[in-house]
Amino acid sequence: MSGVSRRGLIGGLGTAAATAAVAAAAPALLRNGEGASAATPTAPTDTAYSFEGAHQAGILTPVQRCASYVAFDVTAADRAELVAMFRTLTEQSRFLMTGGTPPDHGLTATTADDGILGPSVPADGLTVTTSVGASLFDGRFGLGARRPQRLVRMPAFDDDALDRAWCDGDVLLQIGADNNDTVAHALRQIMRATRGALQPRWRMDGFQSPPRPSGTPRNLLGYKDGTANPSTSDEDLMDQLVWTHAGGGEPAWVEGGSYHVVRLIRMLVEFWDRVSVREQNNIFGRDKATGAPLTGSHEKDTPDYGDDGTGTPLIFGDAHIRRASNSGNPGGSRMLRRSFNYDRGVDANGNLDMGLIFTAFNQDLERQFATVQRRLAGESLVDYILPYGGGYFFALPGVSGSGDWLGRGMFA
Amino acid sequence: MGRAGAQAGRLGTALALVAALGLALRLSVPTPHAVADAPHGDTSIPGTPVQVSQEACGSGWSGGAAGPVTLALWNASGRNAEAALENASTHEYLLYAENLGADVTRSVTVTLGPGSYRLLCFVDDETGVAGPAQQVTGSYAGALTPAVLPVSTTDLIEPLLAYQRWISGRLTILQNKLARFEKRLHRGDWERAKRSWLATHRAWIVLGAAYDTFGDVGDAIDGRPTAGVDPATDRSLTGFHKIEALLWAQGRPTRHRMRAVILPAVRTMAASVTRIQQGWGTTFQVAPIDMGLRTHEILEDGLRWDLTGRTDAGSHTTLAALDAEVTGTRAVLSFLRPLLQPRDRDLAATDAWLHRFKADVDRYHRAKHVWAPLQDLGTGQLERLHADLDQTLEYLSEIAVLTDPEKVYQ
Repeated sequence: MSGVSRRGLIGGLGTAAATAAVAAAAPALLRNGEGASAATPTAPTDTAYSFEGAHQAGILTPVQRCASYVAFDVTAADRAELVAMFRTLTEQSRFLMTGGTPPDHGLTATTADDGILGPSVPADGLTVTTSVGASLFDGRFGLGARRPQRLVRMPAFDDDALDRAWCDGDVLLQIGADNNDTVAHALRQIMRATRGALQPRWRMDGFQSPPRPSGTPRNLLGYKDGTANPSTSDEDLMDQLVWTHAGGGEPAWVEGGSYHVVRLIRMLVEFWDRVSVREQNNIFGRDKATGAPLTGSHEKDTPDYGDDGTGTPLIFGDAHIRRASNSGNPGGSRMLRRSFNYDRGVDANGNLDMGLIFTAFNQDLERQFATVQRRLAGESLVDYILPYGGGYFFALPGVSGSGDWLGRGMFA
Repeated sequence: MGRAGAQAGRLGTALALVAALGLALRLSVPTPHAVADAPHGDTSIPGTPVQVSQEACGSGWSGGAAGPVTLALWNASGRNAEAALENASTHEYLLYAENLGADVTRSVTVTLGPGSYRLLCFVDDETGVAGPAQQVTGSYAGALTPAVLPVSTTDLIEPLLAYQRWISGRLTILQNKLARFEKRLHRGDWERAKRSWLATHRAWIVLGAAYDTFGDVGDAIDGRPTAGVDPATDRSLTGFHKIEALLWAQGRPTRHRMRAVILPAVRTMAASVTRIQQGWGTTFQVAPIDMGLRTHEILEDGLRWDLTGRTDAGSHTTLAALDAEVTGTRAVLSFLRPLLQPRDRDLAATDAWLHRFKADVDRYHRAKHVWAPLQDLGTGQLERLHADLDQTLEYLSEIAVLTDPEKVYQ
């Protein structure tokens, strides 16, 4: 390309490389000591998480601001079509999480990309986490013998009011990103690429609140939610609490996956707002303003479940954090929670429909989530919440290289 | 679906067809231009500046290495213009820039493999000219922009005329079915009249009148029920769905009602069909671009209005309607097939999905005029229908792009 202008060259590189260059320019400016008064970069910084790895992104990844959970039923006619769907899903997720210029269909078809993120797709902190439900391992695709050992249909727990139209699914996509348009874009592109093989069953969009004013973000009952989460940087701990391993009854292919629990929990916020903060604090066992346990001063203080010899513990027996706590069960019922708030309009009675997309990653559903959930039966909080949807899923192991694809181990 | 703009565009294309039929397009061979003055335009637009004009078509670009190429097309002609980038050996197009206003600079990007390419310029009221062929050399590991043979308005004339003749024949069949329908109503034969309604409606649907070819007359024949309004009493509703609501209303209609209320509605509809027959090819005609659009729009309507139950005014024959829509789609497709065969790499897949969707619909075809009500289908069955139709539409939508008429250099 002789005589090309510098401008032309940049135009020709309107790709991931150019986006990355713009994104990298921002911190570079600051590093070079050109203070905050220097020209503000026009492009926002762009976070890209690696698509490939031993585990999928979207599990240990810091919780993004925006999310969508979509459960699908598989309509693929046979095993070959199901494999093709997983390959397409891999290809789409890889491109969307990496960012770049979408493929050009020229004059042969409609555009490959819907264009809502502009001509070059930013990564924007996107993660697409693919999980499978127990129903995928029925007779349709000959996968019965490959079912992760602990994967079953989510049972109804005490205090649940499950609407099965809002539960389960063959495949779950958990999409997270720094902005809503990126989530919508990813979902649209993936659904378009898999039309004949996947039909949506239920969908719930969520968001994470910023720290108010500091510490763990709050749920829509006003309480900090996730304070006691295990540290995701502790690899040994993650290996014990999050990642599944082959052996002991589990098929070999589950190595590096995780049991993915999603619970759609409506919060009856009108009723909740008519409850005094003193009572709310007792229901949770924490101070609403600071998030500190009622026996502490700071959010991260360890709760004391003792009664100080008085016979009446400060944190009541039916308080949420006491029931959920791991203290009575050193065997490891801790799990990694990664929840989002949801807010989706009003119900037929004019009450606000908002709540929590409770999300947890577990090595063992029974040992962790189900054990804790049973301990929560009858807790004081049940009067103010309504768990009605979600399901048990299994987050597939990561994709190990450019030739690998999501779910390959299932079919091997 | 906001197609109002497209409607206006199609009218324009229809006029263009008339022009194409009337004029023998004479395209000149471009004189080798010695343009020393550098092409420019708006220099803030990214890309290698390339001129679109009668005198210096393509000047500014001289080929280069294989890979992504961004051109800043500058319309220097002083008039509206269009431009195509063509593979000079195969005459396939890689990009087509439409509606380039005078002095507009537009950035376009293509990814080129090694070969010989040239820009074609089509300035309004001028014969098309070709710029000099430029060489692209080396290789590129990434995906290339696919090239495809253009479809000209002239290419579409034969399929269009054949389709219009086919429609003429189908209008006669429709009239015959309407006449039988009238007789059955006149006799007060309710059961047979209902079967006639379905057969007549299906005969109408295969015409593929999805997108307003018949204008207001089409709405009078097959207007859709308004959500939340009883179609039997909705005074603004006429045609098939009004008659459907009357025929399938609770209980058997009296012979008097059939003759005094329903029969006149059918006669009015028959008169509308006669108006279409009389004006076919003159008042009512299919524009060249419509053929490609129809191939997905007939079933887009099926997805939007039928599969959602919105068009069911009581007969519960939605699945029969979808089946007829497949027939109508296949008819359009059959006339375009010679153009698609060398162009549509997904043609076999398109046919396969259309077949799969029809087989899926026909699973609920119980007897000659008997189809399962959509309401009786379970979630899994509906999901399968949706999946098959959704995927079919993705493939069908390519045809509208492939057959969107473009100017060609001859």
